Amino acid sequence: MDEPRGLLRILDDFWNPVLVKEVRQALRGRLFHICFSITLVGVTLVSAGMVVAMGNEVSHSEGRDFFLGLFTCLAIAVIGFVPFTAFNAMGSEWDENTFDLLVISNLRPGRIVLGKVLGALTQAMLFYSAFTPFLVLSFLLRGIDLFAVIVALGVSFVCSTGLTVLAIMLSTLSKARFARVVLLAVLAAVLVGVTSGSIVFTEQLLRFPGDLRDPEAVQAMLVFVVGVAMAASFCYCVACNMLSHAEENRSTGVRVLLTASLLVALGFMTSMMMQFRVDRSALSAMIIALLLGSLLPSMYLVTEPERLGRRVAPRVPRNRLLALLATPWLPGGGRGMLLFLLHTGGILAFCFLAHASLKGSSERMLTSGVPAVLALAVYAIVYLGLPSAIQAPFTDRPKARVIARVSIPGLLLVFLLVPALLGFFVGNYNLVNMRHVGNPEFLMERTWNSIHAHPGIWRLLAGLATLTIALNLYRMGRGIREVSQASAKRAELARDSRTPESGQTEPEAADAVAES
Amino acid sequence: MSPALEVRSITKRFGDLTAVDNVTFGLEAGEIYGFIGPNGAGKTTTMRICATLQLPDEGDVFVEGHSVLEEPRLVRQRLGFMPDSFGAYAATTVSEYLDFFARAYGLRGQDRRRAIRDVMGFTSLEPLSGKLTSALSKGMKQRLCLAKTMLHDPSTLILDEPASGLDPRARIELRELVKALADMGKAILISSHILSELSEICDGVAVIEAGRIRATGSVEEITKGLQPHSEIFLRTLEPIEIAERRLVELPRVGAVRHDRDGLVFHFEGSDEDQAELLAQLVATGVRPIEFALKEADLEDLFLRLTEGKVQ
Repeated sequence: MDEPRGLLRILDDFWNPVLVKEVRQALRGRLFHICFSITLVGVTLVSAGMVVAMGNEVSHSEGRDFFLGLFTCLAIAVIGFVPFTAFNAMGSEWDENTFDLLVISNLRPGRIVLGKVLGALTQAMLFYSAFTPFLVLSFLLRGIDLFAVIVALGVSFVCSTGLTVLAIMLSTLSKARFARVVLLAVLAAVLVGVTSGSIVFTEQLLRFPGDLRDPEAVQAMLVFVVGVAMAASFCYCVACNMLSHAEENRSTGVRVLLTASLLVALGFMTSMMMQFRVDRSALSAMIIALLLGSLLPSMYLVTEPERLGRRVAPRVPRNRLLALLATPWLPGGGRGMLLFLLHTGGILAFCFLAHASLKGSSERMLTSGVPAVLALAVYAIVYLGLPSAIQAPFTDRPKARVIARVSIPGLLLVFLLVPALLGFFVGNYNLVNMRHVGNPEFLMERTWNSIHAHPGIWRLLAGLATLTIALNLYRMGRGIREVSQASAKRAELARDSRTPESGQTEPEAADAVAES
Repeated sequence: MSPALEVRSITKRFGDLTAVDNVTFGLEAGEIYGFIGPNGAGKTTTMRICATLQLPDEGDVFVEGHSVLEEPRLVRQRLGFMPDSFGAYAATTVSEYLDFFARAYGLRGQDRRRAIRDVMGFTSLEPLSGKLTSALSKGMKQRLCLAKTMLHDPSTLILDEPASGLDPRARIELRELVKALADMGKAILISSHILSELSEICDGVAVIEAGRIRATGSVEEITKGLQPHSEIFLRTLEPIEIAERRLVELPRVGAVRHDRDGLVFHFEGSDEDQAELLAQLVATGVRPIEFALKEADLEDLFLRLTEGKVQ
């Protein structure tokens, strides 16, 4: 093994170990060699073919076509191949029976996932660097806008990064071979879709490069990058959770990220309202999208095991007030419900405040989609809260947890389909067409402009929401009490074990020694 | 000072199956402790709990006083675990493999390079440093995993079936390595199916079956607990039927059984009593060729303590 020298020797110690291993393995591996060679041969053939076809006359469209040909090869490599290798790299830890060795080596799940991501992206950078001479050649042929080239390459890199994290997250979801084959099929479908989409996008970009200068296009790109970053962060958190021990904290990362994402989205809406003239209905539609977006992670959080894991309880803040404030972001189904209600309440408050700040009469406050937002929030509380509260005593068992998670969309399906089936038998076509209380979309559409429509349904929903919250009160209360007790216990232990010389607790002292 | 490893009343259930049931034992620095039991007895589960890879449903394990439940990171810094089945990364050389784990354990600069050099020297892997791990023999892979386990200089080592699948020479070499590690002051918990090997190096053993500890202590202590009397092997020039008739008439002689071409009998008494017995036997006209105290070995103990229960 060659020893690094100079600055590299200093940097050598700070590389992520998994990154170093992954790059070493990949560069010596057969898969990378084959793909890299094929891509380079392909791109050389495309270049030679284009040069021969051009002859002596070079038109503007040929530089563009040349770039598009190159970009197609590049997209297949960095958007298709790189995430695929990341999926394999994570899966091989189980196939090669090395995952336990990683865990006991004290590497945190976050570092393992980050190392895998960076390892895959290093391969992507190698592809970019190999393509650079060809891309420069295509630019010299003219007919393409430099900004468009930068945007196309930037988008491909963002997609490659996002899909690499997604691939790693998918590979952590199951160790079973059959499940992994299914997950790989899902990933392959996504990779093919995004690769094709990026090629079509680049083709349009090269055709109409002037559109990129629009402020709205810049904003759209920003939204795209932020959206991919958030999705990638969620995938990263889920992957870390899947690699963590069941008794460790597998939830706080997702919770904090969810809250942060909601705040970023609300901030983005606020900035849009300040910059542009936002239509009330458009604002409501964005809030509905936000609410819907928060449901999937919330579904996971409200069905977690109720109690704090045995490796989580000793980490609860010793300060009682801090512990209480942190409660909604600590693991546990009851605390998940508390966080969900907090988020939903926050979104509703934003909805009312935002609509109140818009110009127009105060009577319009309860029109233009506000009742629909309210209806969706109530439905969300019922559909998430009711099944999870009923199944809360059993979610300590993994199978019961899966049942609880499946039962939430299952309940929605039952409430949608059973009335429709009954309607079919009794000849009620309103029910057959899903115009009934079980269908959230029906009420949202009917009450979009007036909260006074369908008062009976509103009363029923209010009753169900009250029942749901009442059923969840016990588990939420227990969740708060558990955190409070864990905090008190920690404070008591700290008092008992405080060493007179250093003023440190034994674990702190041991940690300090380990750190030194 | 806290013991190197202390297993305190741990229980682990998988559904209805209790894989480990109220297991307690401990070992001190420099001690080699054998962990023996049939397949499915709960050895690997216990060892994985000690290595922080699984959590007990009840009880706790302490490594130098640090709980695997509450301080897993501190435990991992002090513990080396060699699992019964482990993989070696594809397309990675021996030195790269060790370099990766050294980095993973947080070793930096000279410390990392020194640690790699030391463990390669200890396990005699230096000539193979540039060889791909996939090209190593089973014995060399075991050495590589042992080298990886020692990189961060843990005070306690847990070796799960380290000798399985090794040829006799590799086993002997591994045994010598384990002895050398104990001489360096490391506490070693080792499981193996090859009991004769364990009996040679272990200071103490724990016998486990169906998740429960059947016996703990040194081989001698367990033997005494199992059989308060000695077993003596006798071979004579006379036919064994004659020798048996004379023998059963003598005092303190218990159950007699035929064993190969001689007799094995129980005897309660001191060394002097044994000498007296031999003299009396000769006086009766029996001419002994072999008269030896039969040492109970680990295999005997294992067979007596366990019933072959599989979970």
